[in-house]
Amino acid sequence: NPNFRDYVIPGPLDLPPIKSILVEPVDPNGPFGAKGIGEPALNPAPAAVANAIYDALGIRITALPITPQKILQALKKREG
Amino acid sequence: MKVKVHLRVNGSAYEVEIEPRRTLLELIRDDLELNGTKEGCGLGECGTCTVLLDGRPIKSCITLAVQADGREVTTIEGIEGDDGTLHPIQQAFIDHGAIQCGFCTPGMVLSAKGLLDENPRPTELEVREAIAGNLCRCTGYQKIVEAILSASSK
Repeated sequence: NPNFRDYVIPGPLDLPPIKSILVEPVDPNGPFGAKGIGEPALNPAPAAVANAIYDALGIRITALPITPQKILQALKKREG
Repeated sequence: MKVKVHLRVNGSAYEVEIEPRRTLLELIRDDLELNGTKEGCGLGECGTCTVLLDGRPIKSCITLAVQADGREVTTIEGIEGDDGTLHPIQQAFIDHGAIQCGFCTPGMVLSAKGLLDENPRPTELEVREAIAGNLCRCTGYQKIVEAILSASSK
């Protein structure tokens, strides 16, 4: 899918309003007070999505990717 | 077999002789050497090729050059003042941090100009709809929307 029609990226109507906040206090655990912004910024997103699913449906998915099939299976398992 | 096309670009008249299949983007970038307009996808999906045709935003990569015959094209190079002062929309993009890599910016600015020339006080939703055909990978659109809204109140 090497084109924008099939590899769909978010457009202006897809994203919510974003507010940026600068967090300035020093990280006591980081080297010289530094905070990572690569992996530490990336990791919480899937966890937040998994928590949102748990909040909405009461089911815990603990492996990525979270697919419709996994959710339907978990819902069926809970009913059965 | 070539055809003659007469068009105005950024206020200047041009007469060119081109193959009928030539796109307006090819004419702008290759024949007129106005490189502010970009080719991001060539398929009309990304909007980096956006120019104004008789004041309305269009995607030049999927527009034939012959469609501009007798009409007025405005590219990003054409919106600054005669003394080189930036257009208020361009200045707003700078002031609001709406530019990162800058590749989407010419298209964004022209889509915004197309909107504001027609609707001087748009809502945020109207702004987002006006730039819906312009993709940006860098900014998440927030500051672009803020810049356009800020330019609209001037």
